[in-house]
Amino acid sequence: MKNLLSFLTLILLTFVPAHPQIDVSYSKPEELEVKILEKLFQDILGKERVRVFVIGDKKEHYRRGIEDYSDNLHLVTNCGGADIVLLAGQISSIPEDCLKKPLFSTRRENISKFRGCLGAFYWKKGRPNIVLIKERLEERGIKMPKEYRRYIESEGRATELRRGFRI
Amino acid sequence: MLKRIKGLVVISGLLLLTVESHSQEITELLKEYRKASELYRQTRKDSLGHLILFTRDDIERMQAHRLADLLRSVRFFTLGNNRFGVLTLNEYGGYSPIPRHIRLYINDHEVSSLHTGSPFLVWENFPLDAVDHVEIYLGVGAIELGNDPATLIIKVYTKEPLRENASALRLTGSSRKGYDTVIYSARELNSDFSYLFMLTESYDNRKDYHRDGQGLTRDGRYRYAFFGLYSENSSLELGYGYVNKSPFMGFAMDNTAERGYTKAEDLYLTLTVYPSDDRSTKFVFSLDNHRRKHYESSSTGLYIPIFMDLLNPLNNPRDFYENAFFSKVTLYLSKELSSTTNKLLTAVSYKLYNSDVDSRYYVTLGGLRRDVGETVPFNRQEIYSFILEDKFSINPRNLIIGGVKFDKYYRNGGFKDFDEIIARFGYISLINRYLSIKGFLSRSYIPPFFYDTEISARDLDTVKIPIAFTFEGTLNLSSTRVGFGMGYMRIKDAIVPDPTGRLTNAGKTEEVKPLFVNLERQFGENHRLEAGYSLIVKPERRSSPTSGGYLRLLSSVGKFDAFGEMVYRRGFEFSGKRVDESYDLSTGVTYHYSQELSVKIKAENLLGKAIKTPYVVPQTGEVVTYPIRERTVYLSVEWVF
Repeated sequence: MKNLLSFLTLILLTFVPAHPQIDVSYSKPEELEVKILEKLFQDILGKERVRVFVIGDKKEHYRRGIEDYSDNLHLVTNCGGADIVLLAGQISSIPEDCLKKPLFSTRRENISKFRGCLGAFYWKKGRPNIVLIKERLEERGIKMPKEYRRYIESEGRATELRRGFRI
Repeated sequence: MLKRIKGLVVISGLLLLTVESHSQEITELLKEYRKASELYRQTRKDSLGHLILFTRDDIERMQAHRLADLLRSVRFFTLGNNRFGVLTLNEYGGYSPIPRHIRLYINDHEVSSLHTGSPFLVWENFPLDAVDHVEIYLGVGAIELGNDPATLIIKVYTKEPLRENASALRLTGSSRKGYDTVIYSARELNSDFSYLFMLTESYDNRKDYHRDGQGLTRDGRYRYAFFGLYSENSSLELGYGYVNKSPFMGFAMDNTAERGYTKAEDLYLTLTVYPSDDRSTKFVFSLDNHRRKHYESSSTGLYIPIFMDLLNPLNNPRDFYENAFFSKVTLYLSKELSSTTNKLLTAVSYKLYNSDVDSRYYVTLGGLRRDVGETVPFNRQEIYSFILEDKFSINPRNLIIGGVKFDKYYRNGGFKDFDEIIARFGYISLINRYLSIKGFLSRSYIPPFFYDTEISARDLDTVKIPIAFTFEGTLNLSSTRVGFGMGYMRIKDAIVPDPTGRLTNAGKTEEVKPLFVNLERQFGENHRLEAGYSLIVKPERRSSPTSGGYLRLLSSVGKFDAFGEMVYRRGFEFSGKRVDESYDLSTGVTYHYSQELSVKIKAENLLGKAIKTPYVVPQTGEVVTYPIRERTVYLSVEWVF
């Protein structure tokens, strides 16, 4: 008992921190979600201001988010005027003129469904993930900054993962 | 709407782990997003009491496959087993074979037994594979939930299907030849619906003991199923739990039930609807069924207090059988009114409990069968409740909570109707960027359950907690967090066994003064060390440990996750027998072969010095002790697809 107490006291003493500073700021997940999309689109397209066309069954959620939290993403009402198309949630078909544009999805499944989909920002196993497809970026001559290295996968691996048999 | 309750949100937000950096690196942003999106940030309610939180990361790293794995270190409680080998949590100093003061919720549905009030007979081995996080609230008189009163609330939250998009299979084998098979799937069904489905089968094989040449076992087979269907404004959940276990000591005079079993089943359905888009109105309808069959036999006789014949021992029971069925219907309607500084919750609830004894008999040592049926005429109870709770934020850093809950009980069989009030006043404050405090002043009660009246064959009064004061402070310093707290609680009319073993309300009032300190230090991103110590000041009862502590290390290195946990409980004396202090050491390593496949190994009670629960042998008065689990190693494989 005595030993235990002295052990706990020892721990208590070692807990005194060197820099007692704390940045008390509380970010909203909805805001961060848009910030991530904003950064991704800016880095994919290499430009500051990006025009986005949103389609899919979750489009309302993402449109609202972009309107509320992003200064650099601008919503457009058709593919013609868009720099990138965001496939938000489930989607069965895409208007013909959108297929020429870079696509980006919030579901991993859309990567194998749409050839023009460069990547996805999606949830899996309770964690947010980003994946970018190497070949598809190269096709469009996109070179991503180094910080994205860990998120870039080759096309073969991405479809293998989708089937879930990679052991 | 969101803006209007900003003050309240800011308070709870600031109390959470704060988001530290605003770096523009994508990895940092992703991490920050994950932290800010954690489900517990939506579900935790500081107003419910003093929170112990196990996040998804904690559960995964600790390989907490069973609910009970998380309860070992809970402050002010010691894990134990009762005579039937069923889990219990003894409050420091106390001895509660059936913890009727503990409530367990799966999401918002309470699954505590309709028979005894304890959740553990059916749910102690509930697998946590489909669980996102577990919140444990210590504190008397939580009002908001509107269910039966408690002093400890365990809230288990299942994974959010929209964030899972996965299915998983886990197989576990133990060195004692037990196994777990768990499969679950959580996915989006279409744009409106998502689902979570889980199915499990396990055999919990524990060490067998021998007494006077007879085997003493408490092995159990457990099955669980869960199905949840979710849309934006409603949810439907179905839960099922089954246990079939050997009786361990049962009621046996010589502490060895030679034959027998306990089979229990829980089935529930709960429908939650938010009729308006702002989710300010909530309606809940739920149905619960609990079936229980128990049989046991001992040639030396069974000690069941209400059936004992002091004059002729041949009339005492040798075999005992019961088949009973319990049901509960719950209706709950709440409305939350929010303004800039206020959040007012008003709610009404109705609960109907039924108990139906299909058969209950015993065979005497003399060989005569006696049908006893219901031992008391009381088998139906209705509870009407009215809830009023207001959270008022004086400013974004100070919050006051005040609430009352009126409960009116109508009981049949000539048992008296009664009403009770739970009242609570709370204050939460962020004094500065480092220090936050939280305090509650409450009064509450614990009602008797069907089991209590059956086993004592008499009407029992509620256990009263006329005053409880609890205080907690948290000091946030860089990567270190220090928690400390104290309390004072008065308990009147506790339900305790009388000299013959029948339950009765204790005449005297008991005072409890808890005290604790916790330390948590994060080393970089991947390592966390936690330590805690808690005790009761001048305990009035000393039938179980009166103080204890824990030390836990959670670590991730590359593809490996590891944990180590040491739980200490002080030694004590029980009916003249000394029970040594205990050191329960568990450790485990997980190897993530790929994102989909992981292999895990875990060992518990490594030192063989885990806490032992004492039991009196009725025949001799001698005291024997057994740990909940002997040293056991578990090997698991988990595949996500």
